[in-house]
Amino acid sequence: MSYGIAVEVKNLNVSIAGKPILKDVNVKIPESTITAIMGPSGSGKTTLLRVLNRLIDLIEGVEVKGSVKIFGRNILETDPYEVRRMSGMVFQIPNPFPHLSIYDNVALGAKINGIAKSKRELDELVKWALEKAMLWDEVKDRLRDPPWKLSGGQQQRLCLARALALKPRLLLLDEPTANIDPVNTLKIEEALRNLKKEEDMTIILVTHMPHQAIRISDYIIMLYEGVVVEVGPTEEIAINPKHELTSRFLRGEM
Amino acid sequence: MPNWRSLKSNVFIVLVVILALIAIAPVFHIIIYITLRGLPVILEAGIEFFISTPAAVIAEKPGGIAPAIVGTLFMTTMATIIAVPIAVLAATFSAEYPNHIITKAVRATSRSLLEVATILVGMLVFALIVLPLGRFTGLAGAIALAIVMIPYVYTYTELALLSVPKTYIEAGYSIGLKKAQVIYLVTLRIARRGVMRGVTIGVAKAMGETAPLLFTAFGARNVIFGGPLEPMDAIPLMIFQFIQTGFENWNKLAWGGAFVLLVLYLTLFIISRRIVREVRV
Ligand SMILES: Nc1ncnc2c1ncn2[C@@H]1O[C@H](COP(=O)(O)OP(=O)(O)O)[C@@H](O)[C@H]1O
Ligand SMILES: [Mg+2]
Repeated sequence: MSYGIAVEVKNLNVSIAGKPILKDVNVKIPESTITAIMGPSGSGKTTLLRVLNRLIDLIEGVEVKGSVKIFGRNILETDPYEVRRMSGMVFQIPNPFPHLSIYDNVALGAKINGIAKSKRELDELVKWALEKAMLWDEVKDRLRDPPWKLSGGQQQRLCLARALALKPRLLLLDEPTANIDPVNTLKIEEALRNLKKEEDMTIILVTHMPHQAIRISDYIIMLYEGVVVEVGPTEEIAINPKHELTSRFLRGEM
Repeated sequence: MPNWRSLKSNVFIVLVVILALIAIAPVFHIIIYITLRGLPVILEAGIEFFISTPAAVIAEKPGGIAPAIVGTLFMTTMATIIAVPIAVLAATFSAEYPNHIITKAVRATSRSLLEVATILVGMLVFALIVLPLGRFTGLAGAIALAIVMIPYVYTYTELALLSVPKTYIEAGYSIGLKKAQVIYLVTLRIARRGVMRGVTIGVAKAMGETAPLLFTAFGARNVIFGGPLEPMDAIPLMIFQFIQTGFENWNKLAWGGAFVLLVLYLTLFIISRRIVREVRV
């Protein structure tokens, strides 16, 4: 367990159709930690997250400058398909593939990327991912069901399992609990904590629930209009925010 | 006052129902009329109707329309095999690159093909295939039907692909899928019902066409199946030609054929709904 740097962003500038979205972002995220990205809507949180798995490339007219290293590799100079295999992503609105069964939702990425070689390995991987997403007990008897038979919260945990099946060292979550109930929110938070502890995963989580950030994160990155206004350990920031915006945000005033 | 209002709304509902009935009445009229004229012919002719060639005009029994049935099944199947991959590929390209010059060209072509009289399609294939080959062939008929079919499959498929929510495409990329894999394993699968709708309508359209076959397959009724490089009959072609004659036997075959076509349509729509489940998003 060497706690090196998982993500290192230097002088990152992102613009879409000439409009600057992220301005000179510099952050270092240590391995095996949970980092919360916070900030008002439109501040560039999603954009920052999508740079990390190059999903940003899907947007037309986007320009990315600077350097982004993930586990030492400059991902801006790596084939985007390879970059995406390095991390898993969970989206704001649960989006399990509607045409695939619960099992296949988890298995698809592993199959395509050759992570499981045999049917048995695949079965084990799917089970592992669903267990880690704290969903296994609820779905083990109906793995062939379509995902729409699950509740919204279960669907989001299925999406977490889908991301985990790639066996990523880095996990990206974009407001994963913004659209689900409190019980499921706590389950996902527990799953994230366990993934950090047991699997040494590095987790980056966009959230606009201050309590969530305080509950589970080790570090907080505060974004405002594309600029990192504050970054540091959660305990420090929660007790003694340096920036006016941060304290207002933590008090729930934004 | 409340009574007056509920009376008004009742009158309105009755009016809507009556208008709806008027709107769909022609469909029932066609179905009933064709059944009344066609079914007795088939019942009278028996199995002969499906396995024989048409009898002479003065014969005691009308014989059958086997060449037309076989021809329609053959040419429609061939046309589907030709048209669907081309149309789906083109639609995939259009959905992926909506502003590309090729997309614009394909869209314009497709739109004009939907509007142009299908006899022109027949004449085009006549010039491109029948003339160089020196003969009418079932193959040329199939190609003409494929051209009729393509714009329907293309239009429906493109629409279905574009209506797939972006978030599933992003999820596909996020688990490391390549572009082609996202299209094939995610987008097309989610859009499958829409694609199938296009294929069904395209096939139905092609199956009922006469005009594109006049100068291509031409029609041949003395053998049941002469091969793809021989002239070939089709049910609508046979109906079109037989109904114009004054011979009772041939008139009967035309009505029987219309009934067979009707049954083929219903089968097509039922099967296509059964084999592809809707994806709930
Ligand atoms: N596809 C896009 N095209 C144009 N502008 C975009 C696009 N996506 C995001 N933006 C802009 O980038 C800014 C940051 O957006 P986003 O990263 O989604 O913010 P957040 O996730 O913090 O709400 C917003 O001003 C938004 O309008
Ligand atoms: Mg966002």
